[in-house]
Amino acid sequence: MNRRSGTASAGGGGHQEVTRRRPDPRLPAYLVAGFGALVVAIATARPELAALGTPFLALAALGLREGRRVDIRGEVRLHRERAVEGGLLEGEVHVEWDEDAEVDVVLAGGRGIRPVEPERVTGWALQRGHGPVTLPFSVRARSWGAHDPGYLWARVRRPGSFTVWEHRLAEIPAVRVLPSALRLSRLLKPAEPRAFAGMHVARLRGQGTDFAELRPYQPGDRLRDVSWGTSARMGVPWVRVNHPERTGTVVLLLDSVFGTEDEALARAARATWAVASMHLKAQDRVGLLARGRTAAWLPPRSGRRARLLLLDELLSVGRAAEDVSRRRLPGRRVLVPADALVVGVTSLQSHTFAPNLIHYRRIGHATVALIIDTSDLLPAVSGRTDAAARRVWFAERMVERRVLERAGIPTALVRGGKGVGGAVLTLRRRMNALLHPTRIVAGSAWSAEAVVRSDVGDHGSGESQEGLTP
Amino acid sequence: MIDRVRSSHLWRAQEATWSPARVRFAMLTVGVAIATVGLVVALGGGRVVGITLYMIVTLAALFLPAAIAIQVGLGQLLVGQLLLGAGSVDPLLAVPAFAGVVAGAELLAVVAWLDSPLRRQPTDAGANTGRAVGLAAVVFGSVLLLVDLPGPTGILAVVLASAACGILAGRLARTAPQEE
Repeated sequence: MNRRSGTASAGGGGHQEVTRRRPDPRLPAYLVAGFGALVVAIATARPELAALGTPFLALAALGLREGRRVDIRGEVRLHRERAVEGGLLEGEVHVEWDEDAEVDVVLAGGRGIRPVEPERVTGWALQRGHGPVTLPFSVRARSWGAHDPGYLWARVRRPGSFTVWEHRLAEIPAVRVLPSALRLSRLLKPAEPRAFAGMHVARLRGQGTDFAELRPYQPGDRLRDVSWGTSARMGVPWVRVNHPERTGTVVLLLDSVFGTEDEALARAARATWAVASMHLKAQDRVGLLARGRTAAWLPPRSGRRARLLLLDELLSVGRAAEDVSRRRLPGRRVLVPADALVVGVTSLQSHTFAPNLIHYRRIGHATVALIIDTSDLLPAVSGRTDAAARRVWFAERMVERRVLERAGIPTALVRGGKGVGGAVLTLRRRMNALLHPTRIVAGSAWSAEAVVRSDVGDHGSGESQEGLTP
Repeated sequence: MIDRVRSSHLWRAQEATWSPARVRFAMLTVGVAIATVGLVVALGGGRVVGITLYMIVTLAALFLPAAIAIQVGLGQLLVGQLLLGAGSVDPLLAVPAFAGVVAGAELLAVVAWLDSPLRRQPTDAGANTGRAVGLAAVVFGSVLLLVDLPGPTGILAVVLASAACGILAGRLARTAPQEE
């Protein structure tokens, strides 16, 4: 197993140390009570009242006497910096301090990881004593992306002190959370396979394994191509002609505006990664173009390096998309290779994504869209207003989807929690139907309107579709 | 700024954490408060309004640490009424009531400190509370004894003792290191 180790500690890697002091809630109470009683005693000329304030001042003085800062250092080590969504990341925290103190240590302030259930925080309350201590920990990788998981914080208090010191000791090393795998055994069919060996059947005939036709033998044909059975029946030699397998180019156009639901983000990432992985395995060149909260462009490549680059780019998109403070970035349209199949991956929450995808269709690219179904993430309906809002939500997405269909872009729904295989199969059928228009019959199961209707008709729960079905 | 906001919520969960130790200390706090007001009533002090307010604020401070300041102020009023009210009692009899107010404040601080998802253990909390209550009782009793000294000597002693405590607390509060 590849066990890469990441370490972050105070003072290293550009980490800026932050230290602040927080008073105990007793301090303001005792100071106000002490000085207030003295003032009242003087104002009323009743020295007995001084007895009500002096003890509080004495307690405040005692509490502040131990208020000086404790020198503390710490670092965080991760045994691995990569994990799959939902997987565990293990590591250890090392904290050192020299004086008698109570120390709380916590990992917090970042994205992408969360405590392992049932814990609500990843932290420790250490008993009074001296350091150093080493604390092993596990955290769960929450959502895909390349994340800065935050900082190691320590809260230090001397025994009996009214002052608590908070120190930001170290950064947690960056982690890369990979989308979990979706089973996908089917490929989309690129528009025009390239002249490199791959897994897509080309229209041309040549060396390959997929049968194309039989024809009479011509001088120069290889003997191994002779179809002996046909030759015996026909009385003259016939040869078998195959389609050569070629590589294709796929550009994944990812809509990175996914609202604030982590699960929606994760679904998009899984679908994108599943399609990309499968095509990369098939020797295709795969590129990634992201639009929305972040802009990214990775030109199509193939091979192992392309896989790593694509994963890196996808993780960057995941990190940016999870940053809710980030604004939408305008991205210029990118010139994708002429033979590329453009696959849009969207939840249709962005109004600019569909025009972008249609643009690629209009300039002649084969274009399809995988619609990420997020309807099951909607909150439960409680009342007529909610029901109406839900209907509007569905209607907006149906309109967007119809716009795509009418522009000649086949769409398929990737349902929540299910694989992307069914959607890819639907897209393959739809693309075949577009290539062979005679198969499209008005009202048939393969017409564009019928497919949209059938997808939308069983979209989510039945009640959510009231009034939507045409 | 973001760090500051995050940090302030870092050590507490969104909802309060009521560990067994925290529940135990909360019950002890309520018990001490009841004993304190009982003692005040037994000594002939306290009015219904004052006692009710003191109990309500003590209960509120279990959930809201900022209310400790009000609990201390109301406790001072209750004990002050004992000292200054009509038919005032022997001042030294007020020492246990005052100790009860201080114990209540110290225990409320422990309850607030235990509101953490980090499962803090209050190993020294009892000893610290006892030490604080002892110190407060000794200082309270000492100053009351100084008050009883005849003539200007008593007043001067009270002023000197109070000034010493005030100056010490003020200097320490001022010279304590500030945020870096």
